[in-house]
Amino acid sequence: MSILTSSFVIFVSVLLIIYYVLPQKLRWIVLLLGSIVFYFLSSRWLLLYTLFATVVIFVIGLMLNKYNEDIKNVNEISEKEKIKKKKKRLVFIAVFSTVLCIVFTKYLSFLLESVNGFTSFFQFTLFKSIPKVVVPLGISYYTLEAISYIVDIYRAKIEGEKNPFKVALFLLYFPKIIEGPISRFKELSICFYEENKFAFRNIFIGLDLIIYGLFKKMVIADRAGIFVNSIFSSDAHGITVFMAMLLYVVQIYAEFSGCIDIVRGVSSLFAVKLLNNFKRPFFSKSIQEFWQRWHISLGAWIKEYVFFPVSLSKMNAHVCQFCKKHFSNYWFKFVSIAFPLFFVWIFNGIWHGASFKYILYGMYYYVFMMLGVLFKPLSDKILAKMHLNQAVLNVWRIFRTVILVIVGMTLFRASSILEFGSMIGNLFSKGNGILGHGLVSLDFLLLLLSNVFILVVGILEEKKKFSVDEGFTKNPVVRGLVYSVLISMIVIFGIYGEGYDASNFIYGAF
Amino acid sequence: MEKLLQILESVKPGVDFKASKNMIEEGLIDSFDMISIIANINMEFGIDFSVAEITPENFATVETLYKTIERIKNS
Repeated sequence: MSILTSSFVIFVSVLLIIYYVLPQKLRWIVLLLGSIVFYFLSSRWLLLYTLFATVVIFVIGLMLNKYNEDIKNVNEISEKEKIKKKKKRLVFIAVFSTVLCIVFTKYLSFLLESVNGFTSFFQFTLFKSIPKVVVPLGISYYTLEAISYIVDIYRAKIEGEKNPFKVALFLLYFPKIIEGPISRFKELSICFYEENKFAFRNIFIGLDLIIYGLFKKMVIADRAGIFVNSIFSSDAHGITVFMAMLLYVVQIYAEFSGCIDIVRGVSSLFAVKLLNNFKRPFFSKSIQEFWQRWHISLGAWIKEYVFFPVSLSKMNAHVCQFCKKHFSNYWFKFVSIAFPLFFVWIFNGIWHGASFKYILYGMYYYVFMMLGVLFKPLSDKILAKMHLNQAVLNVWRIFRTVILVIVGMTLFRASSILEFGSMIGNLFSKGNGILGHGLVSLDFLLLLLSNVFILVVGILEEKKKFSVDEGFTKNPVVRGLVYSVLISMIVIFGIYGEGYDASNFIYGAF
Repeated sequence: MEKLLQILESVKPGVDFKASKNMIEEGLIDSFDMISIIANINMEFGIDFSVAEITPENFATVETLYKTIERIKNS
């Protein structure tokens, strides 16, 4: 069931009525049953796989709870160490088997095709037929949340939940299963069981976010997508290619952040606050900052469960020790993060998709991030000598970051590395205009005005004068006016109708 | 404490860490700096800083970070 269908509106409305009619203590059960129904309607019997995995996660959580208690009650250091080893083994098995499940469902074809590619050098094909495995809904988000739940109990940051249905609600909660945001057990538990009171404020904020998200998705993203789809995989040149690259960035941002707005809005109707995944990423002055503002929940997850563990691993400790002894402080600092960041970006690339293109996508950002770190002292010195105005400097840094992101997103969208290379090559030859590729002048004008609107909202949010998260306004007249304008825009200028596939969210594929 | 201040100074020269009330919220250190700081702490104090200890509370001020080091040392 797509979130952009009338069935979803009916589903949420019915659920909402039952939710608030029931006493506060029982409301989470409505959310759980609703999430199970939503999952079943979207993925049918793959629900059983998810439920089975949930039971396993729940049991491992309880076992880790017991080990944590045992460590507290034991005085001898040797005994403590024994339990710690058991705990480590258990968490390793849990994480490994969870990862194995996602590898089987999502990456099997890629792995087998890679093996076939390798064996083709020796004139034979090892796997004659590649099985097509159906991927359960939101498997990538589900997996990351399951790992965070287990690892947090292992680190004694949270206590394993004793009610299996509450673990199921955390993992299956329907608004976030489609495209995230990747949530944490502790944060969601507070919303599910303590802050689930009815408040008009939550309803209004929810509606604001839903309407704003629909505007981004249907007026901007789907319109930009028409041009992007007609140019990528075609033999376009020059300005046409550049416009497609630019509009793809517009499309993916409007679509992904729009979907997150809708999802957060729906969740707000149930008084469950989900994390915002975007913090005006195109105001970033560096690639590092861009990734702190774009897909925030994924970045935060990777930082906590990949970057920190690899950074503090014995292997990195040896590398650091060696650098400290033999090189200057500058190189020590560089190497201490270069090693773990390599794993971070490999992970980020692979998480986005099963192909070498996505690995290259991860490496692209890795290289630019490391170059940024490497040349920071030098560029700081040069810029200090140039005595440039801070505002000019910031504009230049934002411009530089946006250009790097446009190229990176082109690689993300291109169907292959070859297509990406050919597009970049075609960029420098004479183009054939931007009209006649599915959009007319009015569409471009509409895209421009809509993006200016998003930009103004972004500037106001950046200056902390306004926040969509807090609702458009408290004034009911102004709210009515804003709703009328945005809804009219969606109805008149939204892309829908025959042949339109509203379910096709880019990040929904992960 | 002096040793810790030296480490912080070597990672981020010219920053007045003593005066800071919250090193993370004030933007004095980010996650990259944290890793360099921890690598130095592990070597200088002979401890194993675990991931679970990387919390905003432990990295709030020089004092909280020093207390964390002492706690790890004595555990």
